[in-house]
Amino acid sequence: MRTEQELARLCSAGDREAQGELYAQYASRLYALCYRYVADRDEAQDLMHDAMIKAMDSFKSFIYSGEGSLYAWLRRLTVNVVIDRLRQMSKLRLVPIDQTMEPGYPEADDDAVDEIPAQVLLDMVAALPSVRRTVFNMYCIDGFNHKDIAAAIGITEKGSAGILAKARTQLRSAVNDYLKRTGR
Amino acid sequence: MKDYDDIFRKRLEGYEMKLPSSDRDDFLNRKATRERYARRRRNFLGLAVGIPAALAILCAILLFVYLLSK
Repeated sequence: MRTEQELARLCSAGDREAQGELYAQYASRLYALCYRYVADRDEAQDLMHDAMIKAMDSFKSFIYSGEGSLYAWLRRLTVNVVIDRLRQMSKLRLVPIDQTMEPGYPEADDDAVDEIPAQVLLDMVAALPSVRRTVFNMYCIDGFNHKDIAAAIGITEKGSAGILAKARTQLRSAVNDYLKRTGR
Repeated sequence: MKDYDDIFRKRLEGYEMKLPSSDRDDFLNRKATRERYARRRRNFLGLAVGIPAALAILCAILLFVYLLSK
């Protein structure tokens, strides 16, 4: 298996075999990332393909800065592709506060939460309304700040923080529901 | 929720989801289609610029020959 640096250099030169290796190494991770944002498997696959093609076309802009920088670059590029698509499809409309929030849930034990399968956590994120899902993903998982989020999806920084708080509340109740259902 | 944030991030950051078995073929087909389209577009642009340029040069030569013959 090639090193990240070598893989990037070969992909930048248009080497088909290296592009195939890049796809084999990162496709399933980027697919999960897209699914986290769009909550639809077909759409996630479509977006992942778009992001991969874009990456292969724009490898010249990638600068290697140590192990992990290739995935970090692919991830950022993929998030941008996803946000562009969500904007085009007008899926980033603000939604009213929904009925799923029930106050008074006790705090779940962190160890119990840690034992929830990743796919279940992913489905909980996917079940959030579009804007909350986007803000939560960008802020909590993909490391964007409120300023970047506000610029990317056309809201204010304060609005982004408010939406994040609602997303967290909704996720907390989803986690508690799950723990209650599974008797943990 | 800070701890929950960390848990969600830690578990989902590099999470891999199984792709459909036909995914690689779908991707290669799509990539090939894109490349074909880009090539066709380049060819079209080449012709759209090249033909008028060639005609302009031909006209200039003909005009020059005509003026010389006078």
